[in-house]
Order: sequence, then structure tokens, then C-alpha cells
Amino acid sequence: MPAATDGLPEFADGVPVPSPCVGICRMDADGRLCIGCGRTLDEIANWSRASDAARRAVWRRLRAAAASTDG
Amino acid sequence: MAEAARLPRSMQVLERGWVSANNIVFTGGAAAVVDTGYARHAEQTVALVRRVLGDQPLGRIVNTHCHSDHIGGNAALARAWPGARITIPAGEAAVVLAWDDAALHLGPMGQECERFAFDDTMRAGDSLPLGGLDWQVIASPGHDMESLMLWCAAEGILISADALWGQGFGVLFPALPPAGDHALAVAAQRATLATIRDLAPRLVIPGHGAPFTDVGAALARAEAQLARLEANPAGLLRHAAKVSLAFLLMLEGRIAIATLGARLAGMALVADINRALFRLDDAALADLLAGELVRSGVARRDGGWLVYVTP
Repeated sequence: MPAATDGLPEFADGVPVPSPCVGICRMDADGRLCIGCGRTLDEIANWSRASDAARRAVWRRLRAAAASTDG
Repeated sequence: MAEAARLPRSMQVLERGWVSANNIVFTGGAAAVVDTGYARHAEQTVALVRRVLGDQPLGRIVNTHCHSDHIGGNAALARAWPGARITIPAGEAAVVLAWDDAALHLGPMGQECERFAFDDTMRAGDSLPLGGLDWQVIASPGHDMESLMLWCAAEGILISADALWGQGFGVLFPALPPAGDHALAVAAQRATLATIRDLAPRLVIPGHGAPFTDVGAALARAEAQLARLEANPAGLLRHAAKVSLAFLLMLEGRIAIATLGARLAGMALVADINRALFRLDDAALADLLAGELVRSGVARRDGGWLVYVTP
């Protein structure tokens, strides 16, 4: 059974998962993703009420997206 | 979600960051938003509000206080929804009417904001209907002498703006030059923290950071921070100078170290603090403040650049 913090060991269980915001806060040309943190408009809008599990899922997606562009 | 953190269906918190303050969107009845972020982020603010409201028009914009990170989206939101009425604290009416750049802490801090016209004012003791609930307007001087909070007694929810965060509170501007009254600022913030303690909210929605339910712990941290500031007026000024540079750094991502001295000299607030406290030349001041940011982990040096370190 994977740990709740699977792939995100720095977000300890029981501590609220922090926001990915880096203060750039501008949507890309398609209006789809924030060019700063990489989140969709819905991910940003719903962050405050998202569960820690949902937030970790967003972080995993962001990390994977960043890794695939680092290639 | 824990019961204490429950929000009414008519409320949604848009947690932003440290350049833009959080926005609280109310649906049901006349749609409203409390605080509108920083001007440079206004496009994203409008998009977020539109996503939450859908087809419902925005009817009202309310500002807890008139700092650039709380009013920066007003003009853009008013353009997107021309029927939206803007309400500001009564104590700020003259400053916003005249668009007093210094009193709004814009030029002196190297910050910007798009000018807007307000429609209404609110003052302590007023009651505002938002999201089908009654919100009491409460004075919260300290960070800003005219700042206001919104309190929903029926829900036990406090919109605290920068009077109380999960980890501290905003810089005490009334202590800063040129007005600079340290004792007044500290006394005001102490009274505001006591006000919050007496309200005993189950949930606080701060101006920055996540909404929180452990209000006792947040108040204890804030009271400890206030005691440190009270005992160290020079430390308060030093912290304000650091925060001014940190904000600029967050906005720009990185600043060429060679230009830092001139940038800081162009920020009247930092220049005033330097005159009152450090008395350093441009280069030495730049070195001092950059060093402090690096030591606190907010920045790192990379070649000739001071770079913002994202959390």
C-alpha cells in the first residue's frame, strides 16, 4: 500500500499541503495553465477546499509536467 | 473536511500568494468579492472570479484595506462587470479619491496599482450582507490604521485581512517613517489581537496563506511576534525594509545585484528607514538587505543576480 505521501516525501502527513503559487499568477496564451505554478484555473480556484490527497495529486501532476519538459 | 473548517456553500476562498492577497468570493444574492489581489495579477483574478461565478454577474467589490495587494484587481473587475459597486473603508476615502500615491504606499514601496473609483464606504459597526449572511464590520488598526475585518457571528467565521495570519501578521505601517509612531502601532495591533481573541472565531480567513481553525495557536504566535516588535523598534523598521525588498523580488523573480542599490534608493520608504536606522550608502544597504534575505532563505545569490527562492 503506497504511503499517503507517495512521491512527495517533503509534504509530511498531517501537515496541510502548501500552495504551489510562486507569485507570477498569469495564465498562458491558451488561458489553460498558470505560467508560474502550472496549475489550471480550476486547480487554483479549488485549492483552498481541496483535500490533502487532492493537493498531492496536483503536485504530482506538476512535478511530472516539469520533468517531461526538462528532457 | 473538519467541521470547524466548513464554509457555507455561498463562499469560496481563492487562496493566492504573497504578491496578491486572497480573494473571498460570495455567490447567492448579489455576488461579491472581498479583496482583489495585486494589479499585475488582475487578469488571472478576473478569470478566477469568472470561473467561480459562471453566468452570475459580480455585484460588489469590498476591500478590507487599500494596500496594493488587496485593491489591485478592482479596476479590472469593474471593467469586466460594470455593474459592480466598490466599497472601501471610510477612512481611506480621501486617499483613494485623490489617489495619493504616497499614502497608498505605491511609489514609496516600488509598487503599482490601477486607479479606480469607489461607490460606497464602510465603517466599524456596519453590517454587510454577503453570500446570504450578515457580516459585521470590525475595526482592526495595527497593520493599517483604517483596516477592517468582516465577522459572521452566525457562522463563527472571521475575514481577518492582514491583522492575523496563521503565522504572524502584516508589517505595522503606522510605525514606519515618515509618520512613524511605534507605540501607537503596537498598541493598535495589541487591541486588534484582543478583539479577535474575544470574538473566538472557529475559522479565520487571512489575507495571505490558508484559512485556519487553530485560532488560539495563531494568536499566541502573533502575540509573541508583537512582543518582540514592541521591544525592538529598530527590528521593526529593519523587517519592513526587508519585506519591501522581498516583495520586489517576488514580483520580478530576480534582480541584478549591481542595480540593487539604485532600486532601493528609489523606494522612499526604504530610503526613509535607511536614514532613520542604518545610514548606509546605496551599495552597503543593498548588501545588507540582500544578505538578510539570503540568510532567511527567501533569496539566493547566483552570479550577479539576487534570485527569489520559491518555497
